[in-house]
Amino acid sequence: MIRFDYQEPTTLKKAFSLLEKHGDDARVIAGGTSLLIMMRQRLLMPKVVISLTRIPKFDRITYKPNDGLRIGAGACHRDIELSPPVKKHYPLLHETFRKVAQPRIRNMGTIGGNLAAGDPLTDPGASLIALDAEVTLTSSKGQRTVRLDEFFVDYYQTALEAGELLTEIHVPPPERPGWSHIKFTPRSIEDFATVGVAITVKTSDGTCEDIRLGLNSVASTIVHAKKAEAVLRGKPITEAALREMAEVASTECEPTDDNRGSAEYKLDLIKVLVRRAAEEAVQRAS
Amino acid sequence: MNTQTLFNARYRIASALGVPETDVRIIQTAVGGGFGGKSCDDNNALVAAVLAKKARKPVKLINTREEEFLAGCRPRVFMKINVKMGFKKDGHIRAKELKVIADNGAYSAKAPAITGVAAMRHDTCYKYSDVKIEAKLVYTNKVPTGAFRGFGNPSAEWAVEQAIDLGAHALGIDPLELARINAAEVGYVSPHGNRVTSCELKQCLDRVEEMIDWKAKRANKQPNTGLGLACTVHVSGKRHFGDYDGSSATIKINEDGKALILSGEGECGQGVHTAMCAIAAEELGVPVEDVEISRADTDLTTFCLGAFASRLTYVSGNAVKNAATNVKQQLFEQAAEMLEANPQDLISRDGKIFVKGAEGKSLTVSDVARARLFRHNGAPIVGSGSFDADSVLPDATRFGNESGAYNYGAQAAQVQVDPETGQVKILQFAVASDCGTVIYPLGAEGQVEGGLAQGIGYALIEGLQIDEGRPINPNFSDYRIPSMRDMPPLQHTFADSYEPTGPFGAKGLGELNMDPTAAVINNAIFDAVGVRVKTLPITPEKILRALKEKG
Repeated sequence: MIRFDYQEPTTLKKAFSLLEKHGDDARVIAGGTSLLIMMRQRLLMPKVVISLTRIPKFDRITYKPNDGLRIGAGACHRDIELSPPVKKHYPLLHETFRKVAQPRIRNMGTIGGNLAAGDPLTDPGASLIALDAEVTLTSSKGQRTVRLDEFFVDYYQTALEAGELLTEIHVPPPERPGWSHIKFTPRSIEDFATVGVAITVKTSDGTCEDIRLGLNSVASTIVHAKKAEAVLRGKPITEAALREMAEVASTECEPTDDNRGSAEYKLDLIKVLVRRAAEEAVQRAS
Repeated sequence: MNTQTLFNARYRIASALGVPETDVRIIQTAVGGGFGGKSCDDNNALVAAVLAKKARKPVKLINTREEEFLAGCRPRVFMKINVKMGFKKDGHIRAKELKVIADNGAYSAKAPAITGVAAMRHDTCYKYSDVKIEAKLVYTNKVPTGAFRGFGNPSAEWAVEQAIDLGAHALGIDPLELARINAAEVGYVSPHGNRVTSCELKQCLDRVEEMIDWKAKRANKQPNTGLGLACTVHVSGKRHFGDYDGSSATIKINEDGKALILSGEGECGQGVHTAMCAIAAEELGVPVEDVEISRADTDLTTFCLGAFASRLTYVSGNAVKNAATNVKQQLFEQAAEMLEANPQDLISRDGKIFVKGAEGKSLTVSDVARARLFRHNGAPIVGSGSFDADSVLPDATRFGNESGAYNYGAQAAQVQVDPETGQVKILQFAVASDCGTVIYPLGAEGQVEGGLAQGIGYALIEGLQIDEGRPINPNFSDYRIPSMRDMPPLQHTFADSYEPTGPFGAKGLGELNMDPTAAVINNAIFDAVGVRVKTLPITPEKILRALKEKG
């Protein structure tokens, strides 16, 4: 096993000073569901591991009708899944978090750890993009807010800079009532998605007023399929339009071959699953 | 030690260290499932033993999951099988030709035996007159292979049960009828000499037909939905190792009247200890709560082969029953003196011993055991029993009745295939098993459900990916296994059956329901959408490709 120093700061301020002191030698841990696997496989060998579990109120979930949902980065997936305002106002999030791995992992892994890892295979990012979420990045020098679709930079790379921590996720009040989430897991229901699709839509008299489409497991980052959205936005919703949107979505993705399927198969899936998700979301919207 | 086969482990360690077997003691720890992987194909214990001897200190070896995939318990033998079958127009099987190429991996252990099972075991399932088999086992640079639940039989049933399904479709006969026409029966002897002493395969077919509502579902077929069926046969022990397919056990009666079984066969999570206690209790005429069983320990028990080949309920069950008969005889001799009766007039029931018809004047087992012990020429009541199955070590042509008893089963499934993604959803599974008398119902249900779960994993989920001889998915994130939530709705039942050579009519069950599942699912997929994927696992991508090719 790797030898490392383990620190449990009790305030964010102390966490920042530890981060500044140890720089690249340090790694942040919350639930550990991602970091520990990488450490066991020797992909990461930090000298210092800084735990955020003792920072007060870091897992707080609050909801205000005007402001929306604010999720502390330390909230675990299971708490978000079961949160009453999430169930009531953000059924897409409830549905998405319900499908993450299995309860033992959902009880450990945190949303901050999930997003900050920048793993394109995981589920929450796509649904949060479909809900216009933004993340708060904090350092000793101050705070900044980044749209989640701009937060994901590349494979396991995010907009987080040295000394920064992801501290909060903000999801504005939901503006599009139609939603759908498809997690395609043909091997085991507990697997990562072969393809994941999250969509929200607002319709009026058979026309798409607005739409958001997020996908996971289809590229080096979680994808916000803006071109596909543009196909449908402001247009009458027809079967042909939905097919075209799904077709365009597949051009925005660059899947790779892995043990869940070939790139070619995943492109086929995107075309089918985006269309199906859109159909369901439109149905829910009206 | 975390093993299914203590005495084999002792032999291997003694050989490796160059010491007498008596100098090695193996005590079984709580084994959380064996499935063949802990039956001495691996070298973990040898490494620990050599290190311990060198260091003169205790050594504990724990593999990481990755090490376990690379060099721990071995994967099953990969096979490529070609089947050619001939049928009469009425559906009777006329002949079967099988060509097997089996991938041994880098070092050989049980792979020759496993290939033999794949080549011939299934001939015991249906009434065959003519079979021709060519099986080749080849060395490759892959991870060495070994025993895994089914021992070659899942590979064979995957191939042969699909050939039979193709035959049924070609002949225009309901696959269930075709199975019924050809099903083995009591008295059948397979072309290689397997002798069937009990067989309720036809009853199993009736049961799955009813459970899954086969006829109505076939008559009312829905688009992209299909039914599949396969039959299965397995052994109850296999005569293979040193011309011995037996077991032995010792039972001692404690002063409080409770019985303790000493057995070296070992428990690996399948519930065999409970079954052994139930068998001893039944024979002794005492409540099952009054029987306990020791942890397996090579210093305390007589030689036992261990847990493999679905053998323990049948082979070890018979040995325990014989030991109990021996002990009961001793109890009755002592009790006869005390009751002034003849031993042969005594019976025991609910822990009491009395003269038939005179239950009012009874003795407890404790009364009798204490009376036998605390007196001049006193002695404890203790007795052993042995059993060696009436099977035959196969000769050079592989002829010979390989097991004392054969267990049978039928599985049927209804699946739905998504034509746009290739995804398979199992709507319903029906399983009927003939394991003779069910000794321990909860454990037996567990074997059925666990076998089916692994069968589903084998069919749809699992697959070792090899590059340059090494597994490249050596963890449970990349190598997925089925979870509880992946199990389909399942109905299962046990046939009314009695194996005349089994303990109270029982025979094996452990591997039976892993064997046919992949074929059942693929037969159902064929019925649903008319394509047949020919390699495992059956992934949705392969199905979608086949659907596109079909057009």
